[in-house]
Amino acid sequence: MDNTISTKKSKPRFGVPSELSEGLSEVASPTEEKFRTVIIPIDKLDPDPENPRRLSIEINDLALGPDKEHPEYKKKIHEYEQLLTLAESIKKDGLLNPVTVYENNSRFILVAGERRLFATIITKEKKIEARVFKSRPSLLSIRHIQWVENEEREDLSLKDKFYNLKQLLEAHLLENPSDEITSELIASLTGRTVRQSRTYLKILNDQSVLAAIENDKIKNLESAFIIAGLLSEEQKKNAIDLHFQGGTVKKLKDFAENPIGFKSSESKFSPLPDVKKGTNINLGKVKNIKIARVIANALSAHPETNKYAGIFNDIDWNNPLVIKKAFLKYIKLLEKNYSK
Amino acid sequence: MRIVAVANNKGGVGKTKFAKTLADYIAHNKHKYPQLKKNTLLIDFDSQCNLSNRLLNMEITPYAKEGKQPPIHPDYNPDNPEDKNWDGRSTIANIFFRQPVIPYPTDCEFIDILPGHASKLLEAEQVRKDEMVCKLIDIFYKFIWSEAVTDNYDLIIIDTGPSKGGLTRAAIHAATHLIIPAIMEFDSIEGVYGMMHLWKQENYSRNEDDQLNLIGILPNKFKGNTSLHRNLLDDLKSKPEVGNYVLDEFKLPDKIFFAENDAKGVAPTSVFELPDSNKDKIAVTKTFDYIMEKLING
Repeated sequence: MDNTISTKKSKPRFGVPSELSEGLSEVASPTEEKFRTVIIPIDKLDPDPENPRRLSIEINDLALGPDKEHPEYKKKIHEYEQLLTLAESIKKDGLLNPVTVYENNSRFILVAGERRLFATIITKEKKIEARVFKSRPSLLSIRHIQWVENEEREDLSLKDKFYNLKQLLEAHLLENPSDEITSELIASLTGRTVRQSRTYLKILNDQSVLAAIENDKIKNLESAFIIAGLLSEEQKKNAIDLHFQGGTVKKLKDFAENPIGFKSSESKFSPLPDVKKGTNINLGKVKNIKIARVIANALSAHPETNKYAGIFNDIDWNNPLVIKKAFLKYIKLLEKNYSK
Repeated sequence: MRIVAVANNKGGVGKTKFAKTLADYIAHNKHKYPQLKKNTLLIDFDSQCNLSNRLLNMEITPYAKEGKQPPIHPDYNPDNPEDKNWDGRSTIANIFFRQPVIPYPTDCEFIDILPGHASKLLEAEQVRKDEMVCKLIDIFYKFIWSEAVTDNYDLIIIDTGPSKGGLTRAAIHAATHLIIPAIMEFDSIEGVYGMMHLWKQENYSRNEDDQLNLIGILPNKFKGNTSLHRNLLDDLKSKPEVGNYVLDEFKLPDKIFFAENDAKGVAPTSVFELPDSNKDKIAVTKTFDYIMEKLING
């Protein structure tokens, strides 16, 4: 690291390295919106009316699980299961990242952390740790907090990541309407490097790729970037199909190098003839753990499927959630194997 | 009660020397501060126990891990039934092991010290991240703000170790003021950044009327004849926001006198015992006049 400002032969002049300088100035600056971290009662928390919710699940679903008759039951149960996992983690390690709220009369309005709040309610705790702003932070601050917090989620989908990114950029442009969206701007807002931000920018500028991400047809950032680099809409459509059918990043890269030679009807990656593209086959549910164990043992014994059987070693066979996760992982590996 | 934490997570910047010199200053200048009606307490939170060693005769023994422990307390009386269960020694680390703490007197009648204990402090700091608050930070806070302490002391000076670990965080959480001594060299300035970060985080969790007051970044062991020290000080001072905290007017010079002070049996034992016309005494007095002003009124 060059810590000199000028390097005349006779006498170098020393300076504080620029990154350290910026860091020092940042910590020394008074904060515009101060907050304090306190424990607050959950029954004093309200949702933010100005912030559209992303979760389908509601607070009244948490005690007994979502109602099976509800039209959005499928989405709700998926969210509920994710919350159960988060609740287990909170019971074990505590809430590592407080929720963010602002004060409103004698109540608190939730800015970020709905999933953490819901998971805490599932643990039956009546209080929660919160960062409390004195007043509603600016929209840009809220979006920035949400971006930072969501980045820490292991289960954050590509769709949610781009949703958050677009929200962050929109909030920035509201305050700075004359700004152009560049990779440098994205880097400064998200904390990513400029190089990583170029990836995001390329995807943001491609409506077909964005639509595919929105429809869960592209779930991988690198694949999205490769597809956004293709020249024609037809090539992009073919590449999206390829990816959706289980094409690996390597296959996509090969395709990107020679897209003309690819024809959708001749794809090696076509699904089995009697199954419609994109149809999921529900393998059924069991309540009896012994049945799940019998199936796992059978898979472990079969010569075609035993190579992934290690997934079932050492799992907690008393915990239905853990067993389900193991089967999901196993099926994913089988799908990958059979799609080659 | 004022509590000043002396912190920088880089070693060798002069934290202990600063803490000792501040104590010396009070010993020689308390008359200037009628607000100080009670005693001053020094706390050695550094496992190296240098402050303790300078003010007490820490004992080197092969039987104590790390080789240093506080001497037998002058109030210890093995014939006293009340002292039956006491080994005669006391350290600040005792608070983490539910053992009594009894400050030691020093050569100055109104300055006491709670010495460190190398192995006990290291052991206390070996907590998991999620245990840090309840096992270190809260315990120290409750101790320092207990009646037993506030009834007897109105100024506490905490010398911390070169780390951002649990003990330093505990000191910062309990303190009302923070000072960051720094040598104008790259490593030490990085340490400044680390401490300012902790300061900011601490203030996020405090109410507005209870903020941790940063007295400043004190350039220490300053070598005015080197371009490195001069340039870095000028550069730091010129930075927006952070420049306001750099106490360049009050920088402490790198003088062999300060090191010689520490030798036992050498006179004078303090810069404040030099003649009033002495340039070093004038410079150091000016620095500590400012610091005390910030502590008492800032």
